[in-house]
Amino acid sequence: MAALDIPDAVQVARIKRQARSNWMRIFYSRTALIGLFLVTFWVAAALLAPVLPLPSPTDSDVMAMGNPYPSAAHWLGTDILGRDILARLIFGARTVLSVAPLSVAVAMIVGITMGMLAGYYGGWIDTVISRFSDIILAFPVLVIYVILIANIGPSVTNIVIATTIASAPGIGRITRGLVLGLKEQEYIAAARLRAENTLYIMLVELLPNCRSMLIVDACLRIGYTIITIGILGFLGLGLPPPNPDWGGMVKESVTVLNVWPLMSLIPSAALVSLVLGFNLLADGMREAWKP
Amino acid sequence: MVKFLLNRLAMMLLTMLCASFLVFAVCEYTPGSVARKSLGPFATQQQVDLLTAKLKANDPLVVRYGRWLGVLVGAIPDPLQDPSTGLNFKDPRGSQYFGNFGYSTLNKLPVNDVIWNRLGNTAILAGLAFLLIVPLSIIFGILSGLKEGGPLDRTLSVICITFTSIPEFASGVFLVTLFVILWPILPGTSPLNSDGGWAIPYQFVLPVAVLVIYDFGYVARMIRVSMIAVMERPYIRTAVLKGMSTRRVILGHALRNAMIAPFTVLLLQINFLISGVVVTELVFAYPGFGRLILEASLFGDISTLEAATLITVAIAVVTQLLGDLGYMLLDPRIRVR
Repeated sequence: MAALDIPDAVQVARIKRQARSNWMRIFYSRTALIGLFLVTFWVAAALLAPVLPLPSPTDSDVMAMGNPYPSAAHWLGTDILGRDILARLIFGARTVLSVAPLSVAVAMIVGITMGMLAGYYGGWIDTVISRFSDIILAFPVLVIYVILIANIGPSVTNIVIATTIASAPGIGRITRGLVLGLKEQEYIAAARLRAENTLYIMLVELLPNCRSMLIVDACLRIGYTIITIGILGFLGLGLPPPNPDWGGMVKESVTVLNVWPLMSLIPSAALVSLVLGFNLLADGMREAWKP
Repeated sequence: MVKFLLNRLAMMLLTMLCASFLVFAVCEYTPGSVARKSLGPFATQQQVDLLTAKLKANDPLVVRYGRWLGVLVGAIPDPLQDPSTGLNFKDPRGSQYFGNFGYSTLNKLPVNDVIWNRLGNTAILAGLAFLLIVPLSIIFGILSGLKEGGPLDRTLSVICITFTSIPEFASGVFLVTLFVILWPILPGTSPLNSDGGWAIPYQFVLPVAVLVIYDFGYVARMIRVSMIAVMERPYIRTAVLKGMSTRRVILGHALRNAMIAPFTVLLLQINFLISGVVVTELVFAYPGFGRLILEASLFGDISTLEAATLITVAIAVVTQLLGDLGYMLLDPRIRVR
């Protein structure tokens, strides 16, 4: 027994050393694993959508319209126009999983730039950026989306623009706080002494040290953005048809909720599961990367 | 202190000005002019052009914004009420008074006749939700913050995260399916009249539940973080070491200090609730402020939209100020001279 214990202890030590590399630590959190599973499931479904043996997400099956319940031909049933719900769900995942991360990526770039400038330079640059952020943050988020999208029209570009306007100030505020704490560190002083240029200090010295907080924040924001895209779809401000869009699917079928509740329940549940995936993943990362 | 307050009040005013200008600028994208919306779809192009000229609606953006502001503070009369436009718009308060939000092209009524009523309805809805969110999130937050990473913390955290992942329209669909269709004990719409055969108190249950579900988890997480920070302080360790009972350590020492930071978070939730009511009111056909914002922006009713934004931003900045003042009262370490 004792002889067997020694390699075990060595293995444990090696696993622990590996776990110190940040990404591996996520796998020790059960919640993060569940989140990762949910996200991976939908990403895989979205990627494989064209090769899966699915009916078309936009064609109506007239025969199914009278009986939209799940059947062998339509595993999750059909919607009010006789379109296959499973196919619309999976093709809808493609939309949501491309638009939400794209919007958040753009918002992160803008927000991090704002926060870096405000935190690093301080002074009037900080005042201008912070005041502007305060004004945007005083709006209820959804009101920004509704006013913007109702006026400039629903499209992928406009959703990206609206997300950037609504989220960049918040990201900027987080980054600014992090930079304010970091810029007094010795290694920043050392970099200045080496006469590194400011861009180098920001991108190579400061940014990597804000990484873990910003990745967690981005993960949470993808979840919120998926919710927002869903809400916009539900309000009738989503991506124009025939793009399948989860919020839009709920909106189309909510009027017949008391006859065919499945039509609304399934896309709602899909949306909740994906958002839950991102939120659990973010929570797991935060726990794993706690300083 | 007085200087601090005056400074903040000036900042608030500036924020509201900028916010209203931003909304004004964004609304300029809308196809369809004020004149067309006031006259309706059956007016001839000539009539529309005539009214556009009369309202000087082709002036530059800044000039028109200035005019809107003038009407709001009562410096100039509302041009839409001018009898020469032939629109027959009449505000019982007169055409020139402070707080004149103008005429709603959507409702064909003065904005002030519509908006305050709707705001009152929403205040009831959001107030009820808030009354539930505060104790629920405090209990969840305190319990999970007692022992970070413990089984209770993990369980409660997962519950909170799950609830914050359910947007209002999804929980609306779930709850209506359960309590209206499968087990019909509650009404699925809340029009605030008893025509559907349901007493008004019943009509509040589902909308309030939907708001609470989406919001309380987030607040609970904030309170948790603050509780964890307090439990790590040396004075808690001292209290435990001198043999104080756990209950007295928590209730006497930790709780009060843990509530300082979430106080601000709770106040900021009022802003978040306004976002939430837009969807909730649509789901349950509730005659409130959020639905008014949605209808106004879809129709392009600038007067109503401006009034609504100004009110929401005012609520946001006032709660922010209250938050800061409360923070200063609760925490003597942060006192501005």
